[in-house]
Amino acid sequence: MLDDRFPTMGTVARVVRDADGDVDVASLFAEIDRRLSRFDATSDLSRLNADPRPRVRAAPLLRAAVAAALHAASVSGGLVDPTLLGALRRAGYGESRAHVSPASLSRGLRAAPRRHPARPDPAARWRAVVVDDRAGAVCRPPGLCLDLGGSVKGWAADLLAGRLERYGRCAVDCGGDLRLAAGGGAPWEVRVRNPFTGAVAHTFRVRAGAVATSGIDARLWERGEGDFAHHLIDPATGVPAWTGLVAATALAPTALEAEALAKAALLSGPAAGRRLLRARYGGVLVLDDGTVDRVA
Amino acid sequence: MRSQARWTLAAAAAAGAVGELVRRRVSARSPSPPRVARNAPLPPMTTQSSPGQIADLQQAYGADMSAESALPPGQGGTAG
Repeated sequence: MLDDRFPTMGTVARVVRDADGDVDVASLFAEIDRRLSRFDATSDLSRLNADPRPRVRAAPLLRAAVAAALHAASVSGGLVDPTLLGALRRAGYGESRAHVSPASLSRGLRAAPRRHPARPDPAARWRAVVVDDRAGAVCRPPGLCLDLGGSVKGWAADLLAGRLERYGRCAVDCGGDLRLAAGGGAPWEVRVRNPFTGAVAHTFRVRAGAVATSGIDARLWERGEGDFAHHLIDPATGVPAWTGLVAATALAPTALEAEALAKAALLSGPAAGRRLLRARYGGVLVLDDGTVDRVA
Repeated sequence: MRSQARWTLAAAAAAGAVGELVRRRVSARSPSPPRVARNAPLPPMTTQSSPGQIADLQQAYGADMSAESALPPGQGGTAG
């Protein structure tokens, strides 16, 4: 099989497939980076965020990615909110951290404030964002900036896998968000990595569908002595969420939905996260104390 | 006889052109896929919080992250 890694979206994508057919994998990732990165001032997304007009013409790729972000917000009841760019910057995530190793997870957990579940922003500003495909535009109140980081990796995995599966079996892993197609043969084996030990916490076997993991361990930094922050923002408070969960893994038919469910479960905390995953397609939770909870 | 020969030549030329067109279109639509074993075993995949293993980042980005990778035991294996 073909098995390659691509640096993209601030992470590493792994693409395993029987054949490429007419799909240019590297070019697709390059196009996504070029158009959708919030760290590139010339990207379509950055231009949209900087535009003072309420209606902005947008290329199909940006419109599709924004629509996917709105779907993730809807699926998660507003917990995966694409309008938190200002809060992310205030938390210290204004620049890419692709080349920066994370801070110590155990130190971060020891220094973290009292745990409580995150909640959606009552203002639900994401509902004011509209993708108008007929007009080829994105509409939003001027000044409302979008960050697609909460959904773009799962969406990209779905996009690429949808093209590759015409040519055989494929697995597209965009930074831990996987879309898989095994045809009628043996299923893919997907190992869930324990963020504390690096060991395998659980193994799924998937013939067709998606698995995604969200966690606070990979994007964790120390702002000052004993003051830790990460990239998963509580929409209600605008600050990093410490919910009692370090990582959540979700199963779903699509990687976009799996990514949204994983983030929503993590932001919901152990009890509500367990209920959410159980009500959908199942998954795995890793608690602050290292407990691994398989939710079926 | 002469007109029939002209018709035959024209038909042959047209057929050749169409054939070449079809060949090009088929070629454009169906690039020769690399020869792969369709029954090859599937490698295991891993899911973790982005951005994946530090080693993966080093390999993909070509960055020297060794100075920043001095994590406590038990956390150095993955960044995700």
